[in-house]
Amino acid sequence: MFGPDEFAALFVVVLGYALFLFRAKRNRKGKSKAEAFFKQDNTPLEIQQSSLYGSEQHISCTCPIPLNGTYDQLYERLDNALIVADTKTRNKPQVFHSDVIQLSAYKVILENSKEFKGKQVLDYGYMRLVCKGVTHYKKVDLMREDQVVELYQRRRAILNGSQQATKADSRGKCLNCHQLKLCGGVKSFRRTHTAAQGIKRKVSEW
Amino acid sequence: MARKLAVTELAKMGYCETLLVMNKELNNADKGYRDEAAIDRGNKEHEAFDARVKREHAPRKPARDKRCFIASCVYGLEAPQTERLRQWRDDSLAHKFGGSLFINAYYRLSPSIARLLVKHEGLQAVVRSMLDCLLRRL
Repeated sequence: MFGPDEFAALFVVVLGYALFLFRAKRNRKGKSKAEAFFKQDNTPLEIQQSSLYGSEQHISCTCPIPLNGTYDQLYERLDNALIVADTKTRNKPQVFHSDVIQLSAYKVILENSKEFKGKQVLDYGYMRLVCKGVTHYKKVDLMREDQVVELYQRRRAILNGSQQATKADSRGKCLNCHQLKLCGGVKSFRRTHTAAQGIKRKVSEW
Repeated sequence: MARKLAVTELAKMGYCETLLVMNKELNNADKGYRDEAAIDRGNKEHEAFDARVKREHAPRKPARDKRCFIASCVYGLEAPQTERLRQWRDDSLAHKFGGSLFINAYYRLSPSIARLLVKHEGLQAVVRSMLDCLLRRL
């Protein structure tokens, strides 16, 4: 008859086999669903092979600069490195500088947040652009931490008037802007805003 | 301490610095970028994708050190049967040829099996009878 050791071994083998069958069945079902989702969403292979670390989660940090925000998706690669992703709905699959700043700022928060201590955040992220029902993923190189800090300080300096603001870098941005009449858009140079709204700031050349 | 700046506010620096200044001075900070319909479309897309990605994308694996002994699941964490099995593991099994291999294999399998047992009470009864049988032989 079986002794306790043989019985224990048999017990583990039986349970292991049952678990294997159960998982195989579940994986087949789950895998086909996930594959359809990735195909429909044009998900890059790198993200497909990563696991979802979090979605729509609020994060914040106080050092080196006080920032907070809610990232759209955060993926974890097999080597435990984190990838930041952000979704935008646009008419064209176009990445703007503001997108780069946004992803870079999330990276700065993640690298300086206690919750993510010791985690490596990759120096690139993904913009998920939904254009007329079609999804495009664009890989984006992120800014360094010192560049984000510099931008934060520049923003403060512009708002308190110690530095001059530049204009938009393309006319397209001005087309739907509600301040176009006041500002004159990128075509106007050295325009001073005065009169009705009482703005007396000189806007720098573009 | 300085107020925390929203990432989206900082990102506006990359869109148009002049607009940032004008909006601040005119006190209508949220206007000038997109129309309300576009914002609504964007919010709906975010909500839909958030729900879908949580459902379809493989979640992060839990930390490996949260092992669970099957006996703890069946009998309870501090039950005498569980304690007897632990004692057998440490005193007898760990010192035998292939014992550590068996223990390692058991620890690899046990968290998944324990999760299954929590979900299916019928399976718990089957495992309990098998463990009872093992305990009688110890």
